[in-house]
Amino acid sequence: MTTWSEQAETMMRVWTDAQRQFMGNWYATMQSGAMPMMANPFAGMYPDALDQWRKLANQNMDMWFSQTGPLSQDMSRQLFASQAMMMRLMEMTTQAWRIMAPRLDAGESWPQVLSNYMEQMREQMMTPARIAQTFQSTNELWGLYFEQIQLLTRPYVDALRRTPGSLNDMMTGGEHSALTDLYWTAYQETFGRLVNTPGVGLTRELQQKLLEGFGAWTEYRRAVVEYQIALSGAWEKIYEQVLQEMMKRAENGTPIETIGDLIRLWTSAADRGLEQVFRAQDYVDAQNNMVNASMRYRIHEQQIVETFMQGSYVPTRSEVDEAHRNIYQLRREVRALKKTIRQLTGNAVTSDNVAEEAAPAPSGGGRRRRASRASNGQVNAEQGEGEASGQAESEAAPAE
Amino acid sequence: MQAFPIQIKPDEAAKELAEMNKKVVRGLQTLSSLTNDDVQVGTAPKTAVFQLDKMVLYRHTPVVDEKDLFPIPVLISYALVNRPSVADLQENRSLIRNLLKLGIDVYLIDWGYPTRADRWLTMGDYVNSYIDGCVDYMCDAHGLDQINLLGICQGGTMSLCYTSLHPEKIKNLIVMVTPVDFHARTNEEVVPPMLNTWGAGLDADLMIDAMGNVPGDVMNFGFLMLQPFNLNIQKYTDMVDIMEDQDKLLNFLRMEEWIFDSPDQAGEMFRQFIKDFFQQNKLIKGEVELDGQRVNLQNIKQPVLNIYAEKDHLVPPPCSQALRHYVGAEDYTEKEFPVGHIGMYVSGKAQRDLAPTIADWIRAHAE
Repeated sequence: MTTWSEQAETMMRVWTDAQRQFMGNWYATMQSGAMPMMANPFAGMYPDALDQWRKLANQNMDMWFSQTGPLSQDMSRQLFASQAMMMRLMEMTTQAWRIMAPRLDAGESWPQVLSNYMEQMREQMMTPARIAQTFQSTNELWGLYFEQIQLLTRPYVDALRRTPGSLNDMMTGGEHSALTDLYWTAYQETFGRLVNTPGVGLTRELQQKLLEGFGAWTEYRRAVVEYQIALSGAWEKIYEQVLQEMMKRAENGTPIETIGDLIRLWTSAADRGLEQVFRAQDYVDAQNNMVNASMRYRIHEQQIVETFMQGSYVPTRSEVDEAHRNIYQLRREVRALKKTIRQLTGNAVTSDNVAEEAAPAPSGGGRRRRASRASNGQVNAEQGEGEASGQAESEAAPAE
Repeated sequence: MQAFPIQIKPDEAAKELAEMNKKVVRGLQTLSSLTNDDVQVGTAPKTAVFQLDKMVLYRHTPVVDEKDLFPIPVLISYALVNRPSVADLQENRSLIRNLLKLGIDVYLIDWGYPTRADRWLTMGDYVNSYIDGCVDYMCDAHGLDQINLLGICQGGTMSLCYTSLHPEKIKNLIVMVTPVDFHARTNEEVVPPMLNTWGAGLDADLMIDAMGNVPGDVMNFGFLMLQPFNLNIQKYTDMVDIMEDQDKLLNFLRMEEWIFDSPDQAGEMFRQFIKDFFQQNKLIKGEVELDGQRVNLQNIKQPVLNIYAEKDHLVPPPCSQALRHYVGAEDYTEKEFPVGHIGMYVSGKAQRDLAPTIADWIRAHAE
């Protein structure tokens, strides 16, 4: 009987052959089909063929579906993404078994082999160097932070630069303002020290906002790292679940015999594994912390952007929200008044501008009820009592 | 020695992949021949009859003779998440068409797509202005004092609030896959729905203060994360098998069209729904307040039909069944369907039995 190692090697060859076949068939079918195709990009590219294939597929999508609707385009992209993922899952599986097989051959127990493999995987995913990559030095963080802020504020800063006068100089660092010049030209390297100096003049509040924004941004980045750590735990769980399911199949004498079967096992086991992780309190906490930190940063970001918008006479998000709120409250008041009038007069409810032609009155509609109101002598034809939208108003209630 | 768990033979794998590739290519040809116009949903004939802000009330064109039309119309109130077109996905998958065929006069609320200008809309606005406006319109149009209300999912929760606050205007209430007790479990061993687990720690205040409205894509992402491998990989892998069949492909695409047609959620409405309903479970405690009025489910004395899905992973049966403990109605009926949340609209069983269940119950409660 062949050993587990030999079988793992066979499986790796199957995977390789299957992938080659996959690419080869794909290419051959494309060439013979009616669809346009670029020159064969796969020659000599294996084992990166999968990525190349995906890139090519995406390029071809644009050609094939240029005349069709976005739904067909989206679906095709989704299809190719899932095909690529399918191949990745196969690859991951074969690699895992390749590592585990020699130990099974050596007589180690399955739980022990699985446990060791998971530990190995955990170590790979959680190396100090890997984590350290996400915690950069403060200076680097400042740089990244300002890159982000700069992207958001650039249109307004540019507008300010074109604005003549001392305000422009003070805010944008014109030649007459040493402080703001320093501020705008050197912040990438020096702002970390600058913010510790006492704030003065017009820039004081902006400095404060930037400082608070930086704090929110670093909190956000930390929360993202913590979330990634929690998510790496999810991958562990997925692998564990998938490999356990496979082992069960082996024990039951129902091995996986088709690629489709393998993918189905992968997706169902992976989702079961993920569900366990997603319900764990540490994951839920990490997810909530990340979302909340992101929202807190977003609020600070808005405050900073609004500072620049105010300087260039652009209405801010807060101002527009305030206007919308006023309109909303007025509409509510108008609606309440109309309701009161309707109750007093017995008139039918009126509609805003109906997008399509109003419906014909249902047979007998509006008569019985109105007749009863008519007995009170309060029936009035209701005309022109639309909402305060300023749009053309129409009476959607059936005419009598 | 045990058999190795993977016994995929190279030649069979190659054959399988080759076959799959052929299907993909033929499917792509089918797909490329389709446009968005081929994938329309919600196409049962209807007319816009009433509008407040972005909310539009439609009356579906009856398909039976006037004399056979049931005199008390039904107003369908769907959820704010996703679009009501799921009740009319296509000709042979349509709760609305099935109700029309049974002589029910169907009105449907389309909540529209909130923009940032709508961020201040509260649940009170949705219930006391929009639903109430529709009910008043229908009462006026039909010369009635009461109509029948059918609330689906979150629209069912809003229908419960509406009926509690305006009981005199509702003849009969039907709720379908509707969350009532947001923290309900079958027993302590059964875990709550994932959305409840996630929603419990969500800082809705912070989210709305930061974003104004909640983007539809954020909602979609949350739903996809419930079963990421199945919904992002397996579903599209399985799609390969049906791509050559244009009818099946169109069925798939219509569902896909509906799933990702997700309006943004008006900020203040979302804030209240998450805090008062998801997190604090105030509906069953009688603590929900809309426009200063307290929602008391005991006020609902009219007949109630509560339809829920046995395999619902979004609104598990206990969340819906809880209504029996809190509603004031003496005439209270439950009906379980052996389907999931979406299966309620598309499964063969639901297609066959759901509309007759509703229509028969409505007719039985005409007086």
